[in-house]
Amino acid sequence: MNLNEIEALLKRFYDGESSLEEEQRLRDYFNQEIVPDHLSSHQEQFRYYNFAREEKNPQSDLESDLIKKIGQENIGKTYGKRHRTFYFITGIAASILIFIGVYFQFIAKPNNTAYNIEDTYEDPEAAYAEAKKALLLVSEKFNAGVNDFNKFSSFNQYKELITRKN
Amino acid sequence: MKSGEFIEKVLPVNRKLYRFAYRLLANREEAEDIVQETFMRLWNKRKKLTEYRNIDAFAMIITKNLCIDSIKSRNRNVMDVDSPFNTKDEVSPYEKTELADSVMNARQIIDNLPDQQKMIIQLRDIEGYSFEEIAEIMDLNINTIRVNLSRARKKVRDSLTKKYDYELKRN
Repeated sequence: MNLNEIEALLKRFYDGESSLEEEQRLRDYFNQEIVPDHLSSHQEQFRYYNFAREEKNPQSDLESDLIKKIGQENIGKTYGKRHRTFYFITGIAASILIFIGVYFQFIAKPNNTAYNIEDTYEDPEAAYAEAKKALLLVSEKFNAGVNDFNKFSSFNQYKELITRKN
Repeated sequence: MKSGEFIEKVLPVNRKLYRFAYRLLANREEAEDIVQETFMRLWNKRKKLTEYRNIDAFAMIITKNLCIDSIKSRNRNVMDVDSPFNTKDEVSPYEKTELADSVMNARQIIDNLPDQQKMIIQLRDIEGYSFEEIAEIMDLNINTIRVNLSRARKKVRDSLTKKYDYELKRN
């Protein structure tokens, strides 16, 4: 490549008028050849551009990190669907539990207390004595009522005597 | 767009995005975070991605905006704390190759350009985007981009010439 051509390209380059192809030619020229002294101060700029194009982070592999993340995003989606059915089922289970809880707490409780018999005596002997006393009282009153029926039985005796005589 | 297609068509841009973010932020971790965030956003939009003419430029716009936000919040934090903390990375030993050494001056000069010129140089001279694409990414008209690019290239040339002259005089 002749020097005049390079100098013309350089002028266009610094005026911001060069095309991408022309810039590629400048980079190639300065990358490969030992350049005349008066062009050596331009050389570093173009060599740096060539160098910087290939630069990447040397300390970690960003690309494989990104591929991993993209993979995780996919798994994340299927997990999402499973989570939704899981939430649905636990929702139903929770409402059943709440219903059962409410039923026993507020609706079933009055019935329970109606049939709930509590102990009033702690000593069984005392309880027995008290029960015996109560039953004796009942039988006494009952017998008092039944005594009146004895009059009916004597009435029946006389009635039979009369019917036999006839 | 399925993950296979996504990996094939969209993923390769990650290097350009990383270099762009690293150029602006001068911090590897931050640059990586921003590229990851960019890809999460692209992935979330994967259904609409095929509608874009130029996915590359679209990805670059997201990264550029994230970088600008990050620079803004960084400036705010520096002002809040009122301490000159430096989030810029030192050049790692891996990068100190012979070739890197020989272009270290150019690199430093570009790193010290104003953000807009830095971005335009990065997009044009390093990544080789067309003026139309750069106009789309930077949201500027092509003429403004040419003017800024010309200024940036001349600044790099002039700074390098000064350094070479200085070294010649010393020797």
